[in-house]
Parts: sequence; C-alpha cells; structure tokens
Amino acid sequence: MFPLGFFPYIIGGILIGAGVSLIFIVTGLHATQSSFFDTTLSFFSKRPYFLQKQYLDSRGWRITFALGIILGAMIYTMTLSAESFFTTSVEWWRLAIGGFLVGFGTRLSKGCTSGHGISGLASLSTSSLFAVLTFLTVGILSALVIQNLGVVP
Amino acid sequence: MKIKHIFVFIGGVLFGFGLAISGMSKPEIVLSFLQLKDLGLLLLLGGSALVTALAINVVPKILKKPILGG
Repeated sequence: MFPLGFFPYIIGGILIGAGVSLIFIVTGLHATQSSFFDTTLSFFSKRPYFLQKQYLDSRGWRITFALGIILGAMIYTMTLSAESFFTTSVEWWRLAIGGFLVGFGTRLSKGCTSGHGISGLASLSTSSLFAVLTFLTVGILSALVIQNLGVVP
Repeated sequence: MKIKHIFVFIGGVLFGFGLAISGMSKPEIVLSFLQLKDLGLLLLLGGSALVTALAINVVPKILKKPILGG
C-alpha cells in the first residue's frame, strides 16, 4: 500500500497546504493551477473567452505562482533529494497524449487535482468533491484496464 | 511587481517543494498510485486539503479580511 512510506506524502501535503494557505491568508486568492492555461493564453489570443476580466486580472499572479512551483521543486532536487535531477522513461508521445487529455479535462471540469482536490475540497465544495471522486475513479480504472491489456509503460 | 506577487511566489515555492518531496513530479509515481500500488497520493491530497481547510474555514473567523486587504 505504501512502499515508499508515509512521510514523503504527509510532509509534502503539509507543505503544499502551507503554500496555498499562506497565499489565501495574505491575499485572499485561491492558488490553483490549471486556470494558468486559460489566463496565460490571454496574452496570445484575442478570442473573447480568453479576454474575460477575471483572466486578465489573474494572469500575472498565476505566472508568478507557476514560476514559484518550478523553483521550489528545483530547490528540493538540488538540496534534500537523494538522487538529484532526473528524467522520466515514459515516452514523449505518451506524455503528449496524456497531457492533452488532462489539459482538455481540467478545462472542461473547471479545475484540476489542485483546484478541485485542494482548494475545492478545503472550501467544502460539493461540485469539487464530485470532480475529485470522478477523476480519481476514472484515472484508476483507465490505468488498471490498460495495464490488464498488457500495455507496459 | 506588487507585494501580493511576493507572497504568491513564496507560496508557489512551498507548493513546488512539497510536490517534489512527495515525488509527484515523476509520472512513474503517479502511475503507481493509479495502479493502486502506492496510495500515497491520497495522503498527499488529504493532508494538503486539511491544512488548506483550516486556512479557508478557521482563519477568516479571526482575521476579518486578507492581510493585504484582498
């Protein structure tokens, strides 16, 4: 059930929660991730959808947040991590197809693991609870079905 | 650069550090959760949601509005 132990996950969860909480307490913002795609596209697209006021107002801090996340992961990798920088052995086209589906799905459901799973559940949102139950269930079922079809990553 | 962005950035650094500690930057670890070999992602999600729930539901009872005014 927990081959790598509990601690990396619990400590990681507390730190992620601390980051989101700090931002909420100081600024009142819900620091979620996948809306970053919409708001950043507003720099490049003239479509009315991307030019909504809430996107234009939040695109600056969302980029700042994303850069902070990359730096935080980099600091961990260069300091406490046992193995330093790494690459994945998953092939690029699988990452591309998976990334497309995840991107499409998070926009369709208006949130990702972070938006629905952390901020949404923490705000006691029923729709976020349904979103989390749905994406976890479908993700697990897809992974198990594909594994049982004999596909090896 | 507004002062708000400095706190958003620090929060992002904490978020990224926590995400990296838990190994979620590796597709292999996410996959091992989806194949039910390592349920750690549930601890991660539960832990972070719990901490954030305190910030969202309890702190506003003490502070009337965000520190920077919101």
